Amino acid sequence: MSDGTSESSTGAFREAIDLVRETVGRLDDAWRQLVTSVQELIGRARLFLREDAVWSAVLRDLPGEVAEAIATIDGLLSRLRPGVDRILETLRTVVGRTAPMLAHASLAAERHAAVRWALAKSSAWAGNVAYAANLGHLGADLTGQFVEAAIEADRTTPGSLPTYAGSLRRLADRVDQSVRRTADWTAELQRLLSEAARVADLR
Amino acid sequence: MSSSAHAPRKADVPLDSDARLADARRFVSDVGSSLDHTQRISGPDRTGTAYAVVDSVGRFVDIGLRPGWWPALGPEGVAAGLLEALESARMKAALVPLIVRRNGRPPRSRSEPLDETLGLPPPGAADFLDAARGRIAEAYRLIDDAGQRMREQQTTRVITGPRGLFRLYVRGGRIESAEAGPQRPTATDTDRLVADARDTLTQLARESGGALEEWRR
Repeated sequence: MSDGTSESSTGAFREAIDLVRETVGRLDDAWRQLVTSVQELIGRARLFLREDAVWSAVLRDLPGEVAEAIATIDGLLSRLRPGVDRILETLRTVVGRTAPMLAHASLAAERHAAVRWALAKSSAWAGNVAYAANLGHLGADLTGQFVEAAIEADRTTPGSLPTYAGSLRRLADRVDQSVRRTADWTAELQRLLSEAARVADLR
Repeated sequence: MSSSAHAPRKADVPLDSDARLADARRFVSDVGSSLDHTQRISGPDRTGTAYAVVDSVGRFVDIGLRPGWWPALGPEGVAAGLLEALESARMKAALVPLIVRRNGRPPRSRSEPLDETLGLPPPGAADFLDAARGRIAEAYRLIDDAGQRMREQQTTRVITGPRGLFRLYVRGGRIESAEAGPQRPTATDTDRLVADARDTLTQLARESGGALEEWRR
């Protein structure tokens, strides 16, 4: 790799961290929107339970099914919340910790040819780019999932509440999986950042 | 669909005479005997003079009025009647899995969309940085698309039929209410009124398609 490649790696890492920073705000907004939409859905379902006379006369177990789905959805929202909080906290930590490191490495590379050479040779820097880009992508993907889930909640009728509960359960599984991934990737990112910092300190 | 300041009054019909009750009973019996009947699902309003048709997942197909709608619903109640019919049809579509389960048939299984491998080429590869930048660009596209859909979801708007006889109040893809207007329909406006209702609902269905189905899968 040349010096140009080293600068390009640093630039790509900066872009990836900018993405993570942008994702944090969008993910938070989408999550709040999802919570609002799901709570409104639960409100409509409760209204249906109070006011429906037609379907409960034909399908005697429908009110029970709807009530059960309300409880399931309520429980899934409670299950989702800590996972989302952890992902947001992890992404914020990544942004907070990498900014000074990035500044330090850029400055060191600017001043010392040996550092430029060492950074270009180190796979740690490129690894950083990969993990940061993946963290940002994961946050962006979840943002899209939350928005779609909010839109789906808005369109759900009381009769399809059990189906919506199934969709929300899949989303909760995805969030659980994302919690694990963000933790793993962040741990790797921190390890590689330490390595890159050690390289940047070479003179 | 919910009532709001724009929602016209609903017809006052006792439960025994509610067209939805007899229709619901027939539907439960039909679904129990044959699933083929569920590909196109129609639903009435409480007076039985408005009807709507949806597909098996509740997407709008058609809407209409039967003779007698004017005395039963009138210009004040026709929009609410049409929406109630659509709500009935969608409720029936939504309840098919429940009815099928009651009858001991297994629900359709869905694939689990959990796999999301985010692999990039190895850091030493020549195309690594391009791939990483591609991943970043794709993430921005996802964020922008989500942001646009979120703004649409939060915006309330009105879809008015080209003949000026029917309009929908919509937030995101959800119908908040409907009304006959801005022109007041008369008893002889049946075809034009129905055409307007069909056009507005078709427009809404067209705008709402696509990405939502992705999430459902």
